[in-house]
Amino acid sequence: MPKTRVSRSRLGLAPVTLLCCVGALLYVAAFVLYPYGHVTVFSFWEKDLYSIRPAFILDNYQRISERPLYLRVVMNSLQVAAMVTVVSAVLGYVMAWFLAHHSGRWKNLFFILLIVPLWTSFLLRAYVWKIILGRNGIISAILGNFGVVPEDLGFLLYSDLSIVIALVYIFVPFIAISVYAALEKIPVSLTEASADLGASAAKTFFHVVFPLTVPGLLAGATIVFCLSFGDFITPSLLGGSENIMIANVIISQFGAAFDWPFGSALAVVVLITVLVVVSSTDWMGRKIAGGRDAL
Amino acid sequence: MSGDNFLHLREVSKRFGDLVALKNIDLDVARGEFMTLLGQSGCGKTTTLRLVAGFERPTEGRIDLGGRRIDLDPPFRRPVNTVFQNYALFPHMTVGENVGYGLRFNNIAKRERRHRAEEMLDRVGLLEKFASYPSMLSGGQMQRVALARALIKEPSVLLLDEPLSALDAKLRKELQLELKRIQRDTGVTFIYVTHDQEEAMVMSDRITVMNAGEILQTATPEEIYRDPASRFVAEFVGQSNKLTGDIVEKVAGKVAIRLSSGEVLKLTPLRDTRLKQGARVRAILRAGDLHRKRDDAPGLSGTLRDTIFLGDQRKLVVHLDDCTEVELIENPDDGAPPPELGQRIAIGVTSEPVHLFEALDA
Repeated sequence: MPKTRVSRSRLGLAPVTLLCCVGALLYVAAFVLYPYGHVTVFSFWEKDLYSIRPAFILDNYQRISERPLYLRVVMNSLQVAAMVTVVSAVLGYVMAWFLAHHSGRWKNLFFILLIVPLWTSFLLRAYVWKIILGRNGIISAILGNFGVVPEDLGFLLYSDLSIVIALVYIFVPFIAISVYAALEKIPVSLTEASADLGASAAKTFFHVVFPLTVPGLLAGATIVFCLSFGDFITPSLLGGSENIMIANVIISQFGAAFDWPFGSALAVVVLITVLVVVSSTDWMGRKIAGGRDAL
Repeated sequence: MSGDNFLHLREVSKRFGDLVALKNIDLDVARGEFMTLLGQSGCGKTTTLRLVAGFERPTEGRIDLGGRRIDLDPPFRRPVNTVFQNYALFPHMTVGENVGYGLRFNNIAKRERRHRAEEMLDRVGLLEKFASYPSMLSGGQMQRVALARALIKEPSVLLLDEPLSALDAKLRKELQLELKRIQRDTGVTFIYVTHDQEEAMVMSDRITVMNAGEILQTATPEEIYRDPASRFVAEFVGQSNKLTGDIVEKVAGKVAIRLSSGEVLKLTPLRDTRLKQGARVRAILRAGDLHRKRDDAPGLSGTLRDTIFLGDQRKLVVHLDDCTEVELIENPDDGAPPPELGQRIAIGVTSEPVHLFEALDA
């Protein structure tokens, strides 16, 4: 064993390591534990007519479980987020594959094209679909040439469909980039070894390439799922009154309704739901990836 | 051609754009042979291997294996398997799954795959690592797994691309012998790529020396060492002293060469050389061909610069007066006291004849 010259504290850690640990702990405490703790505490408080009083009551949670409206909105949000995640995963994977294997000397250009939308405002990226999908939008104009009346295209805008389309457009780079990184990390010799041992290109993909990209795919999919589950801008721009998502409800509780305790209770429910979904997909992914940090 | 030859490369060339990797090479490998492709990096040895494996296709020429043309087949249809330089084990599979992987594509049931993988791992002494992941193995163990994974397919030819280059010297020596043993036991034809001439000498039935995309010589290790076909082969194989000089006299099969130090060395050329008087030549002398001289017979002299302990032998590094470095090996226990550094040393040529080649450069 080579001796290191770094002096060690009583905990047996090098000063730099210690500094990093303390920094990370402070960050987590300030930006994760405190806010969520605060929200959780709020969720047991009581709302009087125009004021909020500290208390320990379960009324807020009871209200969520008794009124089907809230659970329906949670379910609808889950459904939209799942749709967005699945569609983005498929689309993002195809894009990453193209970028990694077929883009040739245009690779850098395509990569920048993938990233550029992330530089513009989220609001703008959502709003642009209002123009594309709207009554006087491009799709309606093109289909109009074939005799389709704009009234028949009403389902395009102010529906779950328009929300999913916009969210997929916004979030697909997250998956494409993380899958692309995973694909680039796979050494050529692994696919050559697989072919050498008798696997066709399709079987090599199934047995070697795909399992090695699962961690990247899951990382991207988790981000997309969480961000779309919690999004409120897109549904409020592109959704109808039927298509509100849970974040819209929470916002209204903190804003117009001035019911912070109830909004907090909803937020806690959302948090738990997301944790359950994310940790179970993570567990599934680990099984596929062979329980290893692959590369 | 011997009828036993069953892998043939015929007039094979490979170009990558403007780069010519292989220039019209012909190579025949016999069934059950241990053939080594030896050369420096960029000489085309790995390209040759990749052409046989199917990762590259020849620009010109054809490759036949066991009477069938294979150079147009994709790698997964060739009865050939590869052991990669960096092992290329699948990191998401256990050692057992890695070894059994190739059998999936021979339509072999899972239970039988497992059984054969265990057998094969036992053979390379790693049965207890069946359920481990490759990341938990040492370099030597990974190399054994890579070998087992390739051999389980019972290939007609096993291709090995510098498989030991990442290992330390001691382990390399061990695995050289083990590879040789496995090759003999299985009777599989090995094509082994290396830049290490010592490794090639130890393991091979025959060696093909390559340089700049061409084959310079294919012969047994003994022939390559004793009778190199060209100056390049002579210099590349074995530790050689290179002495350059002009022929001043040719008498009765002997050639007298005046070195740039002014000394005249009388040598018997190995082949009946057609080199003329006045020609500039290079003599290739193995370290074992030289000895420390204690009589007054004509020879070379120089200053001792270094003594290297080699166990039962020692190597002397001597600088001639024109600064040419010469190495000679002697047995310390032949009575002579160990020479001191800086001492004048007289050198004689022990074993004649020697290799004489035309010196192309000064």
